[in-house]
Amino acid sequence: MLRTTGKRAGVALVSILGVAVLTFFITQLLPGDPARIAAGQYASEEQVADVRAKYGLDQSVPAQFAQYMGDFFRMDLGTSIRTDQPVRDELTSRLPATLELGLTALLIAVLLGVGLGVTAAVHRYRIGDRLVQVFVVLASATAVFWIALVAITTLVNGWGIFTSPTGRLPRGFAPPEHVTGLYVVDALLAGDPATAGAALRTLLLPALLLGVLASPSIVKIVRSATIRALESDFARTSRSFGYPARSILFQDGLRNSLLPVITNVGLVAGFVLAGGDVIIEQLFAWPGIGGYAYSSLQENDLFALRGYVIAIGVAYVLINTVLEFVYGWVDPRVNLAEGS
Amino acid sequence: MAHRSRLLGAFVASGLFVAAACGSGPASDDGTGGGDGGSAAVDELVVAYSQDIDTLDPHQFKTDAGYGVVGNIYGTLLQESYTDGGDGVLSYAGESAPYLAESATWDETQTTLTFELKEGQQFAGGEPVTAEDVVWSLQRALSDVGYVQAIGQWLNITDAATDIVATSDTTVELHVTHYSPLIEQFLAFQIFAIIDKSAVEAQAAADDPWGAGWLAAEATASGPYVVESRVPGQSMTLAKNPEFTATDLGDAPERIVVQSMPDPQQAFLALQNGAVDVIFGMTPDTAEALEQSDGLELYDLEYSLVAYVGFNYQDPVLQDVRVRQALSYLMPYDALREDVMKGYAGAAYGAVPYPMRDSLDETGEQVAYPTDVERAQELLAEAGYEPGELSLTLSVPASDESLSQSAVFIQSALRDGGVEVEVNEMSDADYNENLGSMQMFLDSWYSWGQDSVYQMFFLLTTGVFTNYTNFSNPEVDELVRQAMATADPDERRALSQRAQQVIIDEAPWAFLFTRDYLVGTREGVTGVTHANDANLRFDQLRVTN
Amino acid sequence: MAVVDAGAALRGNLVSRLRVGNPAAVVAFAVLGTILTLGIVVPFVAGSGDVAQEYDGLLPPSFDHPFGTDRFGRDVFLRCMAAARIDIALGLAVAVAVLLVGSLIGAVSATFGRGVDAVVMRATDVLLAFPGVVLALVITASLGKNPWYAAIAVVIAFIPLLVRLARSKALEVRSADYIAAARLSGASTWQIATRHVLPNSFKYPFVQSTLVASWAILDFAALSFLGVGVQPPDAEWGAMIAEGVGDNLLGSWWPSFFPGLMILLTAASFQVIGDWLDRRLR
Repeated sequence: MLRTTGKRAGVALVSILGVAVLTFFITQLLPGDPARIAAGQYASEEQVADVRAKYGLDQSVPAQFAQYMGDFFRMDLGTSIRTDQPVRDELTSRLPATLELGLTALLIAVLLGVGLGVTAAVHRYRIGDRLVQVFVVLASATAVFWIALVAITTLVNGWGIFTSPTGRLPRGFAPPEHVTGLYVVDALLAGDPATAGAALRTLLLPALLLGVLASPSIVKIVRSATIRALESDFARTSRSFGYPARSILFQDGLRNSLLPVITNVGLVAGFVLAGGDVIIEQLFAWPGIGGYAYSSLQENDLFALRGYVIAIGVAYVLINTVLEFVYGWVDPRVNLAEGS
Repeated sequence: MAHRSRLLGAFVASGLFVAAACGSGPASDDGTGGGDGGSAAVDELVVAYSQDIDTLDPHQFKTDAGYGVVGNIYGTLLQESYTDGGDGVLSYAGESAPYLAESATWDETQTTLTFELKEGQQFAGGEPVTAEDVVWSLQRALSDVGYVQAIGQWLNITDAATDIVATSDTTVELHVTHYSPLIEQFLAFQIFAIIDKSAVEAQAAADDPWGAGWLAAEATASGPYVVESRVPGQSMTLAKNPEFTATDLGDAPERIVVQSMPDPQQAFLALQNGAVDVIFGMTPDTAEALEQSDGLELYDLEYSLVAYVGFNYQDPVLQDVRVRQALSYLMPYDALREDVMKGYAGAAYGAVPYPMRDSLDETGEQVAYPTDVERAQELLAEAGYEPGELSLTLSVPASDESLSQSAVFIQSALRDGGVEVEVNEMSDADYNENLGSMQMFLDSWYSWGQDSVYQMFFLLTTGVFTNYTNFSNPEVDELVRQAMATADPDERRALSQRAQQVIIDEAPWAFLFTRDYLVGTREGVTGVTHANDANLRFDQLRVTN
Repeated sequence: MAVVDAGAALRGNLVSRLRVGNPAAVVAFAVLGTILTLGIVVPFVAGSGDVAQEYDGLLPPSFDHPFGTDRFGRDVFLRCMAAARIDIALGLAVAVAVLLVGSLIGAVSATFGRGVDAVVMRATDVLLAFPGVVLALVITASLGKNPWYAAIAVVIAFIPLLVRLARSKALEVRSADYIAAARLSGASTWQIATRHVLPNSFKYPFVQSTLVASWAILDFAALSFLGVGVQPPDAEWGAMIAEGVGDNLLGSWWPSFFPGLMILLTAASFQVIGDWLDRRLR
């Protein structure tokens, strides 16, 4: 169906537009008057009216919508009511923190998922497999905020394994020079392994929590794909020719399980970016866009909230579009399949 | 999670001149004579706040961290004086002292206040601090750019454009309708920060004449600290302002890192682990835990930050004074102070509780309507309600942990007394939007400056926007009006106390308790200001041993 | 009709397969059954534990109070059981709603194909790209704090997943021979969608819906933890954890630990049952 690059890009564009439109109308539902909140408790009605005019909130909904879409195409996300700063700048300055956490969590999820999935497949129906199954069930049934609480009281407070969560670096370390915005990478680029290590240690606990809880779906997929591959005629033939089990596993099992993992990573990224992230950032004082969204919602900061939702939506669509390309590239058959 | 209290008014300026520190006190030693020479000033202190720094505009900020930073990067004409109690706390001494101003003088009729600026002062950018800057800054505060306007009326200035005048490069005159002790007190608050006019006007736009867009993120420091760096959503690093000469900063910390820690438990852990040095505004839970840990210090500061249940006068049931009194008699005051506030709370006798100046209660122990279920049920019966017949809704902001916990106790206690209560926890935005229209609501309020007349004016006089109960009593209105008009402190006190008594009898609120401000530090941190505006003065903080 | 078909299939399977015995599934059914039974019986017998100061505050677990008491002097066990009703009922309600709406849209989309299908697929794309937690927070902020509003938010967040699943199954069914036969005999597209495609493509999403119940319980608890689920004094696991965060720090781990454990046990049971159904019904 989506045979050409152009069509894929078109679909991505339509999705992004859809997110923008939906965002506008969903945030219209929010209760309360943003202008009153921006102007403060003691503002007179005229002051509130001025604020309303300043943010264009005095216009009709269609007019506001037209303005909003116009701004959207100019990549202007408006001005935050809470901080009076351009939302786009605020988001871009916080995005690296979220990306660093999210990508690390994703990496952990994939490594763990592939590792445990293959282990389970190799030991299927034996004790190793059973243990992995238990892990899958527990990890997918654990509330992230609860396990974070347990982890903080035991691992940080009790045994002091991880540093206290005061942001992205422990006390005494200055942020490395900005290159990618990812502290670990930037510190390594600057030749400062001490800061890189400190940043990694701070990052590790929230990333582990997110990564472990996001891994079960990958474990399941890798396990069944590897089992299928190992039971395939091809593998059986290889075995009968006397190829060692290990090489069959790596050449066929892993390669074949890569495809479903790629499609699944998109969904997992959604969880890591938008789902667990808001709560984890709040609990770990992590200065990313999830915490920004939460405080914006508390203060009814319409424009900041819209900017956040659009940013997440665009990121999600882009990730999935890129993954589709990767998928098509890894497995050319996919172009013939119907649907996405 | 966030500590939320609505604040009217105003914020600190640095204090120094004060009460030349006896012995171990942190107040600066004039002998060292300025600069940051070989003094023992601590390199860096990390101060945790529960909220983010929202803006650096002194007329727009709304979070605690915003106040904290603005109050320390901007200087004011006057500053609060403090007394060193020798216990690590600097207490407000009841008067203002000169700060960026060299002197403040009233004329004979007490209608003109003349400020003479100290010589040779500069903003952090190098521009001189002139009378023109002062006039512009005060006019900006009283303009419609922020919410300060409502507070500005307490300066008794009729028209900011003509009544605030620069008569020379270093002289500013304030023309007021009549004297009030609040004028000098308020001018020490950071909302009357001195801003560099030329720097702002270079950035101002036609639709933004006061440069609000620029001042939200940039500061023209005239106070002890300047912004050194910032990680949005996480922290802001302040460094000593090298141009600041109004006071001696020799012993002040070189650097202050203002850290945003939304979760109170996390903040406490960070303090235990040494990742932060000071937590401003702890929850009662974490404060109690802190007192059980070694190597940490709790500063328990009493304030007139009053928590109350407001009864809406537009509601037909609550219009009956017997119902309001009965509900007041049903409140579980002891459980609230002990189980919710963990003892970090005082009794609230009326709308002007201890330790507010001119309060009817001088001890902090009096209770207007002690818990008395029988008396409550008699009153309800008189009003025509048998047990179980009355059903009410209590709204509470979900983000304020202490208030939402209080709601649970109140609900149970009222149910025991035969009154059904539905609790409605709301988001801040929703709650603030509905203030004034909710049947019963749990709220807390602090009037910076702790002035009784100011407090009653904003909360309980007819037609004022912040009168959320819609209480309207001609006698109270008249008493407050007279108190505002008089320049005689004794008469003002007498008028205020008469109004306080009427309010207690009318019971427009159930006066629950006063909340302490809780500041946690690592051992050896002193110089915590028990200021009129409940704000820390970073340059006063010291670390011993 | 659809529900009847699937239900009959499920019953047949349950009866025959349970006899064969799958230890994990048996344990899961037992755990879920126990929690549900206690959740219904205990509040009737001992109350729902919503009266403050009934006992001393923060008593550790003991014979009298197996889960201890919370800061308000309420029995944590009673509250956990009272919460079980709300949480499990909501989990199941969300699963059923998602199953019905998702399958219907998926089947219709697959059957009508082309235009309708394209619109539905783009719509699910958009919804999937919309951050679920924020969507739910906005919806509950605008509707008010009520568990059923939070449930609606969770339903909306899950529907696109089920639509996609149902659609892909329906596409398989659509190409089956008997559909072609029905078409030849003059059935309308709508009739084909509702009478043939929907029931036959229902089975797999039905399995998925037990997993949805598990996720729904987790998501609903997360919303409650963020403070938008239930009004006090009602008990709900996520809200109980949020209430106990501060006590956890003081060494009183029980008010927040046990509700989290209940979530874990319940959600895990639904997962295991889902996996088991998956293997049996395929």
